[in-house]
Amino acid sequence: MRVLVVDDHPELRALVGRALQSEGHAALFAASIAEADRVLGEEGVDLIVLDLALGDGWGAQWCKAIRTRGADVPLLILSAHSAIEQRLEGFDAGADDFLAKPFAVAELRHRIRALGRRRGAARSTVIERGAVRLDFAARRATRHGDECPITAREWSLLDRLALAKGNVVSRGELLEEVWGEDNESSARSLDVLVARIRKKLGAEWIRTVRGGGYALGE
Amino acid sequence: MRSASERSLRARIASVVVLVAVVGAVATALVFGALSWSMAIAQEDRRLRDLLGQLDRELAIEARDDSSARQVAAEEQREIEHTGVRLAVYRGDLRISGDFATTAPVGCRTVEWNTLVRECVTSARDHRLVARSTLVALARYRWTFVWALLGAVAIVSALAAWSSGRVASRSLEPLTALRNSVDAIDVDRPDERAIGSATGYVELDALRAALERTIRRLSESLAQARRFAFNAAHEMRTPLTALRAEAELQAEQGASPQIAALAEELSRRMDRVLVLADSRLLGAGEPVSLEAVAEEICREFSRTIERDARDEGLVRGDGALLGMLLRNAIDNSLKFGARSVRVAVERRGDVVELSVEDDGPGVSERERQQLFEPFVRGEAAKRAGAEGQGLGLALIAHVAMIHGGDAAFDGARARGARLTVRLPAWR
Repeated sequence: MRVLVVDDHPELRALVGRALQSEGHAALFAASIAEADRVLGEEGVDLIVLDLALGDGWGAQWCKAIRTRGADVPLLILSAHSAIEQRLEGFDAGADDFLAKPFAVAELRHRIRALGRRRGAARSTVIERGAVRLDFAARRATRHGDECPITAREWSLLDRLALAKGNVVSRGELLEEVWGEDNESSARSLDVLVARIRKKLGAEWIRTVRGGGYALGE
Repeated sequence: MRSASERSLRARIASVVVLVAVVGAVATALVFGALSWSMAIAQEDRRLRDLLGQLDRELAIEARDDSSARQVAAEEQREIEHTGVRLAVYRGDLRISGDFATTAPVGCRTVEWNTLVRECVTSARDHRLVARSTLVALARYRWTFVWALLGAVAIVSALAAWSSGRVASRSLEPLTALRNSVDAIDVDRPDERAIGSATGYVELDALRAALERTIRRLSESLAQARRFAFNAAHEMRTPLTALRAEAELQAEQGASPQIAALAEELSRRMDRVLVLADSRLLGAGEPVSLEAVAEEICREFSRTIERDARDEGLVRGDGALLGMLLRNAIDNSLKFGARSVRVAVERRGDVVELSVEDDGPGVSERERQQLFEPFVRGEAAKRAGAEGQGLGLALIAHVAMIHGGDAAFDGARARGARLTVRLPAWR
């Protein structure tokens, strides 16, 4: 994957680059929003790692701008400004994930791997069925207009299922992407999580496919 | 408990109220007593003078010599016998009529106090006329009057003593209200507006204004200290990120993993300072399942942490901060030698309870409250020689507080400790 790293701190840029290169990705660099705009326009970019506080602007605003322009490249915000307000602002602006600095390299790689899998898949931002409305970009769910409390992990699961557009996603794949590990305890948690989502949104939202896995209900 | 040297303003006001009431009652009684006494005397004197005037007129018409004067006087005495007044007539020092002797000059006076004998003397031409009466009623009721006065004073004093407590409390109400509002000030975010508007009492408003100024200054210096801590910690985030990433990347290439672990520990501590230095309440919040947080955090520990989830534990807040809270709570238990730790999530009405129970050395009654203050380290921490600056529990209390909840150690236990965090449930 070609990953664009936007950060105004040269050492950090280089370090993120090294962490990605050792995974076999190609790293492109930008120190400012202007530079990021140029790289995004001239070269093919599969994924963006974006800092929030940049010399010539606020990362989340640039994210919003490129989303408005129709760029649906997966984007991860990597920022020292990690208060919940900034995280929610990032998701609102159209970011796909948020990781706080200082981060663990392994965590960064895991998130980038997970984001990479959705490359090319069209972003489904809003799904509406019956009284339930899921806004994936803003991570907001409503039922009969009332806010429905969907937790971060439930969003990850719904996100992965939405990406498959009704096709089956195997249990193993879900465990690997949502929990980062496939073992007995995470498998139990998956069952619990699916039951909870069904309770919150309605049983028809997640279909169990015998012997296969789960799919978003038709 | 109040020590003996401390005095109560309420008691002081109450005793002043009693004193004023008793003095007032006695003074009123004395004034009224003297007034009614002198009125009774004046009335009696007027009566005696009237009779003397009448006698004088009779004498002027009929008395030509001493014997005729004696006759007129005797007749007059008979006429007024029923009034109890006795008359005497003198010419010079010679008593012409009457059965009592007096040398008193013109005027009225009391000649005998025990039975209250009043005497008035007038002079007319060559005669001195004297009338005497015994104020039987006044003499009889004199002691009754004194006892009545004493009784009234006693009743007033008793009433004053009974009501003075209430009076004092009522007078102190504005002061009590001010104290309550000062008490209610959040020490984490002192706000001078919390002590309310002017009370309308000059003395109290002066005190209020002084308190306001002090609180404002405190709040400003606290904000400054927090800003400094926040900026200092934030300033270190970027180099720390670089250090940590560098250490991890080098460890992957065979370098010692120790530096990476140290960098991770350093970043954890920095995060704690950042969270503690940020005094704002949580503005926005996402739905967070405490049960999911517990599952994720418990997995981080190499030791098996028992989990008991009776509820999803849905709250509104910041998942990362709540994770940090639980990590610190478990860390704290393990640091002091707990062999088993159990994390439970339970819903009780509108509250979600997250509790961490261990079989460690426990927390003494005395320490239960103060341990949540930053930089306070408990006895167990000192004994165990555990490292740390006493920020773990402060962080727990702080994160609970900005979520609108609280954290506390449960009461006396046979062994171990149980920390319970109570947060408002989703909606």
